[in-house]
Amino acid sequence: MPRRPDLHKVVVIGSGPIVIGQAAEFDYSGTQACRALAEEGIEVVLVNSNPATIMTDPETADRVYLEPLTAESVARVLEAERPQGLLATLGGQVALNLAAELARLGVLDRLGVELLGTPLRGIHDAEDRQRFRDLMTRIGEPVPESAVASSPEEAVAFAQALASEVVIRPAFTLGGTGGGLAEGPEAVYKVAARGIAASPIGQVLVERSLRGWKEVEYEVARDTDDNTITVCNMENVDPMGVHTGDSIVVAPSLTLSDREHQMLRSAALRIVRALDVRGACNVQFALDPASERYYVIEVNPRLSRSSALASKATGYPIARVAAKIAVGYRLWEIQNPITRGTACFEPALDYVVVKLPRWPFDKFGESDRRLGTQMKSTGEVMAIGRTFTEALLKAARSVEAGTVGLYHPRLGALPDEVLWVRTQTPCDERLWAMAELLRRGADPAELSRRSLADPFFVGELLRVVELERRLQQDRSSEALGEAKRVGLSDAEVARLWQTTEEDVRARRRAFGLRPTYKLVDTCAGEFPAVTPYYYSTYEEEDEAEEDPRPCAVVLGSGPIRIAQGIEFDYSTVHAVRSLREAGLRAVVVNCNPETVSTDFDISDRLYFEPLSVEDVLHVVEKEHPVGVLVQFGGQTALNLAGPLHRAGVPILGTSVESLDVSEDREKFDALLAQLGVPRPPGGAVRSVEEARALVLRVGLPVLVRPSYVLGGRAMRVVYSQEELDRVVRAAVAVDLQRPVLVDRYLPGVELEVDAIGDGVNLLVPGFMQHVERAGVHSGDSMTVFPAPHLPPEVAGRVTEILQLLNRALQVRGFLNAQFVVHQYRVYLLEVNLRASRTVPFVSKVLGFPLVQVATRVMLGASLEDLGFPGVYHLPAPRQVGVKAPVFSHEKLPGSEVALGPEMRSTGEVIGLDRHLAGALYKAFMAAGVRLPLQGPLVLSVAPRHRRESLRLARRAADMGLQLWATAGTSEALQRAGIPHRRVSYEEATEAVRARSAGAVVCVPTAGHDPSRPGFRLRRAAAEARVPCLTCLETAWALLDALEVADAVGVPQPTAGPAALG
Amino acid sequence: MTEAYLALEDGLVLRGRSVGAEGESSGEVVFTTSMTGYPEVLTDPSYAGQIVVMAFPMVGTYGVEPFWQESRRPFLRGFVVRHASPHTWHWAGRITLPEYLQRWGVVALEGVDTRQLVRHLRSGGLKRGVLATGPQEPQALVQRARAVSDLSCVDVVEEVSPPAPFTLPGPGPRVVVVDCGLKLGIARELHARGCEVVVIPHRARAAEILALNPHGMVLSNGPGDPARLQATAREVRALWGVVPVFGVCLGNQLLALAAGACTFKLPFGHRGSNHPVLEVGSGRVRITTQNHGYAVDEASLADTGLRVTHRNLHDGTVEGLEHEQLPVFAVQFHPEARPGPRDSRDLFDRFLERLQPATRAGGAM
Repeated sequence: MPRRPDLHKVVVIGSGPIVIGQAAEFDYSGTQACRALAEEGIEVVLVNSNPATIMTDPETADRVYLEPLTAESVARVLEAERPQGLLATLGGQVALNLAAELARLGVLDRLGVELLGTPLRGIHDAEDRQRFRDLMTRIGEPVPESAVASSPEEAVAFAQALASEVVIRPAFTLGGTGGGLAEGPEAVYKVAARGIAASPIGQVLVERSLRGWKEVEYEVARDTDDNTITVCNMENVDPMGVHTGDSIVVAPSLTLSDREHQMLRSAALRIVRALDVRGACNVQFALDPASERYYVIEVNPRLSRSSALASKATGYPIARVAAKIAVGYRLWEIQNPITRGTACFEPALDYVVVKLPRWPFDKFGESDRRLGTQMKSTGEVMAIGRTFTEALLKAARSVEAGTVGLYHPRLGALPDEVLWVRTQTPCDERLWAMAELLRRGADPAELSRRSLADPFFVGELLRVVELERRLQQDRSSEALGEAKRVGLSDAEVARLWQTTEEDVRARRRAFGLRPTYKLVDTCAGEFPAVTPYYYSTYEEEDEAEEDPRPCAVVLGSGPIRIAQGIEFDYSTVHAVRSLREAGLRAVVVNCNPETVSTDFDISDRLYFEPLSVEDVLHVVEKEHPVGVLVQFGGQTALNLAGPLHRAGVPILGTSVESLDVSEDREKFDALLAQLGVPRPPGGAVRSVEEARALVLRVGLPVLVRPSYVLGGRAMRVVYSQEELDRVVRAAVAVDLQRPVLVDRYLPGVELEVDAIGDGVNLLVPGFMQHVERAGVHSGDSMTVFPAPHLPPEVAGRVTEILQLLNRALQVRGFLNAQFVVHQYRVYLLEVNLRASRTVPFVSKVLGFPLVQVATRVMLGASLEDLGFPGVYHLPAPRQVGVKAPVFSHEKLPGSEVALGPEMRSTGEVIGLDRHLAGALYKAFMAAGVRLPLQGPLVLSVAPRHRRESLRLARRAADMGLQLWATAGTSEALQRAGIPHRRVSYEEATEAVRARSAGAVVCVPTAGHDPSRPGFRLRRAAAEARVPCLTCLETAWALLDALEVADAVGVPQPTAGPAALG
Repeated sequence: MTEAYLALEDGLVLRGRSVGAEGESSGEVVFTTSMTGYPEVLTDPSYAGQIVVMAFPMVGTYGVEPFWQESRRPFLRGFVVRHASPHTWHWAGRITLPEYLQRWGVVALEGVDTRQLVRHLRSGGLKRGVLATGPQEPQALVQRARAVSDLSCVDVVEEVSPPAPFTLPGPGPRVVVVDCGLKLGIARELHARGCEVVVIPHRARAAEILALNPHGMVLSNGPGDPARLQATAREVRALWGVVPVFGVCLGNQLLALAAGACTFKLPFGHRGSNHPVLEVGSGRVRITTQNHGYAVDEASLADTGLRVTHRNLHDGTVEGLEHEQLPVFAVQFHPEARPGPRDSRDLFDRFLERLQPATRAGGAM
């Protein structure tokens, strides 16, 4: 059957904000699917609350609703649009849950909207643990002994009967939120209680733990005619017990015999057929490492993180195929765009793919680094090599974890016992701990036994370690050649040779050792491929042919991590499009499998490679670009500018000298002094003594942060001398090389601008205002655009400073700057000469292609040529946008919830409305705050802020909200005569756990101290998903939103694409 | 570590390391894209006379287990891989791949750019080649590769067909398998369904086969150019309508030859575990294991009484035949898999269903 003729309009639900367990992969699959539908002449309407996505671009869909992903708001969109079909399998668990809810509420039936793709019955069979189990039993597929528990007591009873370690998973949640492994009644009770609370249906599955079994996944596609294929199979290097999102994964599986592989493949097909999947499905198995016994673990009847990885690993566009199936095509009628043959086949690989997760523990030092069934990573990297070691070592350098290949400098100093603990208990550093132990001569068999990793993988690590040993003695061309074939980087060889990376590079070139590029073609070379998707390896034949047409290289941003998220992929993709429009070939280098920028048909050439100097230089030598664009890939790309420049590579846009001035504290201060631009007084210190001396001069409080880091790692506001000593000591410990910056903390309104400069002209798209006062990281503050009630003289002064910087730094491209207005004076806080996190947000509110303009400028056009002469202010948008951060605190036990100068949010949402209050309302709703509040507002405010909090409390009371307050806050309220109920911390925390509290306003006194009751109250709120506001300004905004809760209008699609002049 | 070379008739010479037996070996150089199942590939008699290149670069990762073998020994002429695992840890992988290759005298090469080789063979067609260990003069090797006789001029089936018949006893219908290079998987599938499996050499005459009182006959897979098996085809033709016939791979081609159709050589063959085959009429696709260098010429099927039941989705070549009236059918792919997907095991059931009338007639018991 070709495409169904009755489908003219389809609504696609996106996945909303990035949280742990649901990242950029859904922008990738959603975008690919939307384009596949558009190709069919179907009108595509998209709903998603995440502005930092390509899928919400006017180019991706016919109409885009940047609206909260709640049943109510999606129902309104369906009502307004009246589509024939709804596609909910592309937006992760969020979209699937929404579709299920819309069906349950009768919205789909009432509006005559058909759920496309896998029918609801199949979705419920896969998602509801008991139904899934029953189905598996019916078709004879083994599932681990398990029980569904709705109370912790039931869970304990079952575990005791089983007399085994059990794994507890909540039903209907992302990334296994709230689950865990447990043994013994107490532990089982605790984990089960947490899981039940996390599950929207109040259920957990308790089942036999299969820790140590191999974990193997299959990506399956099936059409309405029951044609079923497996696209890819993958094996976790970390066996069962570690969430697959937190596991090192290899594709295809390497330790399974054909018998085992076919046994599981056949089982996967049987399961997918029983679920009546129409589209894509992921099936996970546990396989006994010592027999052919297996269990079915989990099924995801939708696109998933694994399917995105499988797509990038094989080149097979799963989302595109799933979308075509959803509108009626049979698999064999769909074209494989890579070979232009049929999509109805199973990809064959002639390389090995390794995925490494990226964890946020650099931001959450206080959090538990152990890994289990609850996913903790924020992103991942993928690497391709001809062998496992090559792919693994490429992945290790892609992940930017401060390691040199399999060598972790911090672990080198630790005693064996500690390394054994980190090997035995899965944690983020396990791979490096294992390599270190092998380096020290540990027995590989024991290592495998204690880590539960298959001996094959330990053997492969040993191969690398043995080569490291050989290299320490041997500097011959043969040894270096072997090192490159096994996958060691120049930096790793430099470590072993005790020389510099540049020296190794020079010697390697003298030996004539250069990589070759191979194509990812879905078919292991059996057919010619037409898509230019390459990876490097040290082989004979180079398939990347010289292309004489001029090109530019765009560096992507690598793995998704806190402070460097999907926003940078948005900018990367737009830069690529702009280059192509400008008539250049666009060459992308990136290593993140979840992104749109690494899709096979976004750029003219995709190099799936680590973003390291060595790998990027090789691409540059291959492509001879007119230059490299470093402003779009966040700090990862920007950090490469200097080394590339020194190696003679032209950097497009603002010069490397200017980039350096902007990032070097002393040089930058000198420039500002010269320009007469004030910034908070402060300086760079290298010791506690220097810090004390500085504070004597500038006063307290101060903002402390290490330089050259992402998102303000180890950054915080410090109010006392003792705290300062502690923080500076910790910061110095992170990196002795670089000084710690200490600045006077000036409270005030914070403003931010994403301007574009060409050294002469300046384009100002408008001013953003942060809801929270300065001191909260800009990535974590709610941001309003355009800034409301901005005094013209402040706007004028900000513009003036921007223009001074534009001229002085000879900016060519983005100029992001943050300011604080303190006592009517404008201070400059920070400058970034690159696309910032807010570029997509501003672009979407304005409907203006900022990245396109910036790219043209980097290529040499003047803003005047482009129609923006002088200091050009874009006209104010018709609507107000509010960006709200979204956190994943509930997935990171023990992490601080309070906002601070250190960025902690994993994602963001947008609220768009004609009025600020409406936009705030939508932003809160989209961020998961249920309005109106479902219970009392709990106030617990630090003494410092209590006086200020009275205004808030009074307003809340006047609005008729029920107020609770803890001891000190209660006294203040009482004195002010504000009606409230005084509660103990314990009572407040209990109410939060029971979700009977509507929201918590908890402004911390100290922060980062788990022994304080306030910390525990905030943790409880995060874990129970009760809104927790830790700044009075955010709380004030919440009251603004509450006031208009009933008056928010019909969703409006965003503005269409604006043509560039 | 001994160096080793692969030289092709067109002058391409690759240097790597020897990972199997010492010596020199020659044959037609082919590639397979199967990512798993190297033990089955090594022992598939259809590779007789050929040097096999594995497109997947990491081979030997789970060792070799004798039970997984598809015939009594490897018949291929050489094995070429990017990386051969020197160890085995798999519970069932009793010996390592290099040990296995050495034990069976297979000359093998590792450490070469196998993707380059695959692309070379795909675009330029299959080549004759020589695999040799130890120091070599490349040009001399190329000369020797040019002297290798073409596979279409050699009776490779003779080499692989068993010297004498043997039987796997079973309670069910008796199936005679004409062994032209049988993969044991086919016999195992029949045996698992209760059949008594009588395996006979390919030179058996129709009368000898009938003397065994079979309920059905299976024509096995096998190596080389099917056109050299006209004699076997004639015997097959003599049995049509007497016993139900099921052909696999070479068996499919034998059926076509028996009906008077002809076969032709594919540019680089079909070898792998991922080939989609469309069933004519139903529109159902199965993913199949394939290993054949020749295909049935569809045009030559006119007026033979055979019709096409399956086609390859990649190149449209004939993947299955069926007689319009008689219980005679065959597929070009491998329903027994090993290695590869088990999607087509139902074909054995289909064959067994056709045996039922014969059983009722009591002709054999």
